[in-house]
Amino acid sequence: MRLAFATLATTVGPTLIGMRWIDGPLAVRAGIGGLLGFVFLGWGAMVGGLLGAVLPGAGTALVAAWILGPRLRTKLSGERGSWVAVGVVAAIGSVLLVMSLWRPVAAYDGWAIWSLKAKALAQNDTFDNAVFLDPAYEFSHQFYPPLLPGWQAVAYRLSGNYQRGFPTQFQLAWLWTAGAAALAWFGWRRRPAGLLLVAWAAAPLVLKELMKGYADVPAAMFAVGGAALYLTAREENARVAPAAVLLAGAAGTKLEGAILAAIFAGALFLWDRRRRAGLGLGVTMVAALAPWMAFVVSHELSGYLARDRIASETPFGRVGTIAAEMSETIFNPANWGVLVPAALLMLVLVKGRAVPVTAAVVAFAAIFVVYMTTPFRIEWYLSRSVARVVIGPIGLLALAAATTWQRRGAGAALEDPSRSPGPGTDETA
Amino acid sequence: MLVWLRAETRRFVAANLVEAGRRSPALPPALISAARETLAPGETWKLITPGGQCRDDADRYYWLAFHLLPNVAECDGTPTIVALYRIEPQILGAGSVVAQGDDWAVVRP
Repeated sequence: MRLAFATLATTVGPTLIGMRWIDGPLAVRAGIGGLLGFVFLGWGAMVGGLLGAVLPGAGTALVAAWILGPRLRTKLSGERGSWVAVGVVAAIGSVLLVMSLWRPVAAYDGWAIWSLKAKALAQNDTFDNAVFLDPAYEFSHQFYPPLLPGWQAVAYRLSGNYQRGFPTQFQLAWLWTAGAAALAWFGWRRRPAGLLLVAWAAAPLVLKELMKGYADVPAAMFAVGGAALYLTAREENARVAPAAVLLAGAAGTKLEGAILAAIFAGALFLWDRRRRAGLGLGVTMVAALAPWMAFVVSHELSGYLARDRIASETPFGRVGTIAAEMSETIFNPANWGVLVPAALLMLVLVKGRAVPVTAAVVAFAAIFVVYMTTPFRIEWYLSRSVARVVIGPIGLLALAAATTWQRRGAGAALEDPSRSPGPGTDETA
Repeated sequence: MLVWLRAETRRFVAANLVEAGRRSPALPPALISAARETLAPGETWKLITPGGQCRDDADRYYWLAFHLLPNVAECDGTPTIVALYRIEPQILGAGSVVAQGDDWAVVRP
């Protein structure tokens, strides 16, 4: 009974609170609201863990989010989206949610990193414990941002049961359903390209990585959801604070999420006429991560970043291997169907919007550079990570293509400066 | 992919894996249960296998680390218990065997 309560309290509860930050169609309110609620809960648990009080921290963050929601609310029109696409997402999500009830934390990084930390945080009520500080637990990458473990720790703590993995699986299935439903509704005025976002969310590789219990899909979902919300809000001259929260959530979930969010903020700063928005996103992310970074720096947690590089491998000597492995993963139809070729074709045929196109291109480049400079043996590292690390950049690519189609089909005003493009436009790449 | 996930879920259920998932458990569930029953709050443990100590046999070490929390590993000093997998308890000399199975033992050194 406590397990069920803990599971619902960390999924339905934060979703209801996050919904106060969005005014619009139900799918977007519940979808983006769910993502927002998870960020609030995870961030509150993280700060609570730094202060030695996980549940009070999480509770305070949720109360603050409840109060601030109506003041920072984004109001979106109900003109876009497809209930059919939302229905497909709801059907897949329902299957995942039901299946999660029988699933443990399903794969290596899930239990060796993310849920290990969640358990340790929940059991000790603080990050000051061996899993985060002792060299014997360095394998858990102690410096990684802990928003996801924070969220999961609340479920462990509320349930008092540390030997069942299904609450974390249910949380991830809920997160996917929420994020994918919102992306489906952002389907850009019922144009087929909008389905690219659903195709990304429901791609075989995304579902597989999601249910492993890794942080890559949550980080990507926060980043792509935040970027989609930002672009939509700008078009409609609505508030962008919820988008900033989601991008901060991406940064707090995984290093790759921080890279995606920083790149998107940088693209905004570069191309968006309202440069303060890009700066604002950057400041929000830094402020959200600052408490954790202070902990990392004060305890000198550098992990593998401080390892010696492989002497026999040079950054440029790795280029061919990285390019081959990334291409194989990105273009493999078993992973993505025809999503990537379709998105690229769309971007070739129609001039893309600068912000998402820049974000997608730089995201791929950044991942490439990370691989060039990693201290691990490159073939081993690629084999273990490339399939999930490309999820975020491919999400941004799908977003770039989807917004391009909208711009061509429904955004005539955006093409013609004399037709008052409004504050949501950006330059074209 | 949903069909694949369903098949994977059925494998977990069949193997009675409710906490952490893997193709097959990295260590015998009986070893983990015995270690859990032996450890009191604040006590520590070490893993020894034919692969070596603790991180030398990374997969089994991480598996045990996850399952034995809140008890933490003590790989450099003297732990409260030693979990042995496919190693004879005699290698620890004067230690007392707390629990033992076909290919595992929990020993107080």
